[in-house]
Amino acid sequence: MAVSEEYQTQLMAYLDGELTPEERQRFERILMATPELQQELAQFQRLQSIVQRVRIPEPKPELWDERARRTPEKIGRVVGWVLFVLGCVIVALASEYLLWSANDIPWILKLGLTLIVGGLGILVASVFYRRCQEGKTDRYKEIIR
Amino acid sequence: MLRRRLNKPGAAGVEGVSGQSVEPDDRQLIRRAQGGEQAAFEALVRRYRQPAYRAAYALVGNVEDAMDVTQEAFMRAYRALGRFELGRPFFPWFYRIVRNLGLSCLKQRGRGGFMLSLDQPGADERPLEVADRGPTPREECSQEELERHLRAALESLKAEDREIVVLRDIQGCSYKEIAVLLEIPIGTVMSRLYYARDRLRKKMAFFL
Repeated sequence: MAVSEEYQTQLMAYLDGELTPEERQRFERILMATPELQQELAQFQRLQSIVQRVRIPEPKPELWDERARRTPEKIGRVVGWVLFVLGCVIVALASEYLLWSANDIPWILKLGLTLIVGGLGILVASVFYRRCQEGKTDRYKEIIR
Repeated sequence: MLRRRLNKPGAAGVEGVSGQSVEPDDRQLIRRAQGGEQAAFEALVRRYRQPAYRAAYALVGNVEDAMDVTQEAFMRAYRALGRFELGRPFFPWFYRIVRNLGLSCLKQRGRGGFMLSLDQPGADERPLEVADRGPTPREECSQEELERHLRAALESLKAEDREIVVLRDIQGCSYKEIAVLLEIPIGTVMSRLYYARDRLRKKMAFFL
């Protein structure tokens, strides 16, 4: 049982009461002459009667208040992470500078420490790069935030 | 709540017994919020929290995530309020933020993501429930069985399909309102509704 595309949209509009009185009369004449369409309509009506009985659970107002109270903590965590990362970058750069300006440290140690810091930097950068790439390919990116 | 305020750019506030507006309209509230008045934005939050939450729930399918999405959406809206054009209706603009966050939430959580189950604990965390309004379409089927199948069917739908069915059949939006919210022509609303309902109908075939 397949309804032609032409009637699919009209069927929905009829079901949802979105047709004008004239369109409705016209469609009812088509309905009378098409048993397949009648059957389809009956199924959609039964489905709609079930779905319309669904209730979305409403959270208690206290839960919203609780969340509102937690918001500063959430913002605090984000700010905390930003400051932490920034601090790490500054410490790493300053340490490297001091490391390479010191004359009493063996070059092999300087190189090893530089590789560790560089490796960590590359790991962090790769995570940011991946996030940026995901952002570019996000199919919902056109949606205004 | 959603329907009353969707299409009017300066959607009027709640009407008093006398018929005169007793609450400022959206445009006034936004203008005041843009000027830094926090109470005005809080009034907007109170006005749109429920429709936003319901829209988020339609996408993410559970109370916790829907509340997170709603709250985050209001935070983003607050940050972006300076760029909001006062001539435009607020809710469709805000709905796109909710929708974007809801879809991102689903993406992070994995496919489908309608996390409904019969044994979700707690009175506040109850899953979708079917209100007892008379006999079921199929008399021999229990209410519980119907609920279970409906949840499973909704869970397996694509988020976009579920969203449009919920907007129409549960939120009671008109085609015009759905078209505004989803930024699609009314013809597309009708065809998308048909395909979404058709997929749901196939999953619920036993009960129809």
